[in-house]
Amino acid sequence: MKAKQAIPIGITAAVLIAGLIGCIAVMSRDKGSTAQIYRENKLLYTIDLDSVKEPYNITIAGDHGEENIIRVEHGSISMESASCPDKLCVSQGESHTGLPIVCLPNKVRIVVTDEQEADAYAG
Amino acid sequence: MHMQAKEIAALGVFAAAGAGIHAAEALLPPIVPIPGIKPGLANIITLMVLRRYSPRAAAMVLIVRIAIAALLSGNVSGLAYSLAGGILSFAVSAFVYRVLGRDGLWFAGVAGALAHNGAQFAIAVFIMGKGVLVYAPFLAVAGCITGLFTGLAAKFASDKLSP
Repeated sequence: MKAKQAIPIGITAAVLIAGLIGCIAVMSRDKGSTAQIYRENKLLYTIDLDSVKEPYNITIAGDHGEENIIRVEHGSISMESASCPDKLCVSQGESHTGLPIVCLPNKVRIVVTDEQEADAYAG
Repeated sequence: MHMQAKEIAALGVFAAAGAGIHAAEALLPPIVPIPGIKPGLANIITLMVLRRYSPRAAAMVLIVRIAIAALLSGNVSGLAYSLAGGILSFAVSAFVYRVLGRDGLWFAGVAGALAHNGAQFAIAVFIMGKGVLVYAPFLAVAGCITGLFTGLAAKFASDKLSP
């Protein structure tokens, strides 16, 4: 019985540790200042956040009445509002963790990277 | 295919409990602001039925629970995703339980949660492109934690339940 438990405990621990290492790796990446806004995996906007002087909003409209309003400020970008039910993308706040801001229902994605990575994504 | 009236009644109670948990969980604010991470507490009920009755009974309770919860929360458009994720996750849980037996119930929870997150993630990558791949480690960690919680909760609750 003990031996039978060893394999599942090992698998769980391995996935957990690998996942934690991955999380730390993702969150400790250098934060860039180039924001890219995608909808349905197509690049719509590329914004250099350091050169933004006056804050402004960008509205992304979908084919079926979906709407995402994105707030662009000097050095930061965030989802101001969204027409989706859960508003997870709004509660994600600014993209400061290196994770993209994602609105799954409306298929909108905001990525903040540095220039080189931006080129790699585009290619 | 023949079921005892007592068993049918009990499964109805389990399905109702699961639907209640499922709907209540949908009302909670997100714990972490990452899409696709949720506790999946209703899975405790599915795992309990899997151990107490049979995979077939658990599958029936699962489908009834998801259908009722969709109607309760008014989110019928999410029904197809919910069913697809739930059935895949259950298939993995049932397989693990078959291989490991009673002592593996907690791992059936972990494997099911990871399968659920994996399937959701695959759909997200398909729709959104590879830019969302950086979410993978977060979903893996979340699957381990929520799966451990639901799996162990199902184990302890089943141990306390009178035979």
